[in-house]
Amino acid sequence: MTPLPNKDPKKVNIKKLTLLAVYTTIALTIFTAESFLPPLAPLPGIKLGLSNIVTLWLLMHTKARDALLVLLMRILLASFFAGQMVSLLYSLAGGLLCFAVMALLFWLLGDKYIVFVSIFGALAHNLGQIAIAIFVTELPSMLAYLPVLAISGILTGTFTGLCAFYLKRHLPPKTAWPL
Amino acid sequence: MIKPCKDKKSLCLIATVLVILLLAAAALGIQLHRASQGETAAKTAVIYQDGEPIRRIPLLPGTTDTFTIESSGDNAGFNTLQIADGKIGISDADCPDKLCVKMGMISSAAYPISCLPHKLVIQIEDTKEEPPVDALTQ
Repeated sequence: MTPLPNKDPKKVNIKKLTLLAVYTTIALTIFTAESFLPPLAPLPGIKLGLSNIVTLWLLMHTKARDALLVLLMRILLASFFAGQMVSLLYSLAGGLLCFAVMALLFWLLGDKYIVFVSIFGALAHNLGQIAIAIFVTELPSMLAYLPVLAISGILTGTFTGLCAFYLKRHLPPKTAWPL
Repeated sequence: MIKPCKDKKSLCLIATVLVILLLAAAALGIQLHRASQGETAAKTAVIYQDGEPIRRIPLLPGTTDTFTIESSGDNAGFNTLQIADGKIGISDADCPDKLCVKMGMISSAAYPISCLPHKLVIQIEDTKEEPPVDALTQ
């Protein structure tokens, strides 16, 4: 006798799949909209990173695995749309390092400290991008950007962290993650 | 939230963030100071492509020059470099974000201009007594 379909552990959870797809779309939309904004400073790597709000949001509402999935899909789709494979390398390195740090810190600290999770995530993101810049250009002098990127990471990380914090406060969890 | 908290965790975090901020600001200050110190010294712009120095240009007060550097392969494109009044910058490029153009004209060693999509970097070196040692950046 075959097990009932809804008891099969390998069965895809359609509701969750759809929700993650919606969140990927939201992240992608924010990312695309942000790319139309003029750069904050004429230095590579300085940006608000607004789509990180979605990652923070998912960390607060679901498993880290789902947040990672959405992040990876967003990065892949964004570089497909932008048509730049060079930026994929930068986004992946920054995004994955940022995610690793944020997931660890979130696990340690929890919802209350989401601003700090975001700050350290932004710092890790910028560090990852400098590492790739050094790797790509083969010039260690790219480290000259590190102080500026650290300061900008703290400022932009605070901003996105506060966005996630207030979003969490004002959006009921049933709306955010109706599973 | 960022408000005077009594618990140790948030104090530690705020301290860490402040320390990073201070260290970064200090590093930035030192960098800018060092760059401004060499203001009077002779400067050489070194242009790197794919990590190799391809051209060295002495930045003399009177020189004006414009030339184009083509890159091929998977990072194909061009960058038009401009030299004027002892400064160097990228005046035009076909990279997507044009950040290299927006970085303007530089004359100090504080920040290199980089066009990451084309793997092109312009770095200013202070020409001191021992140029062979100065060139060892690898």
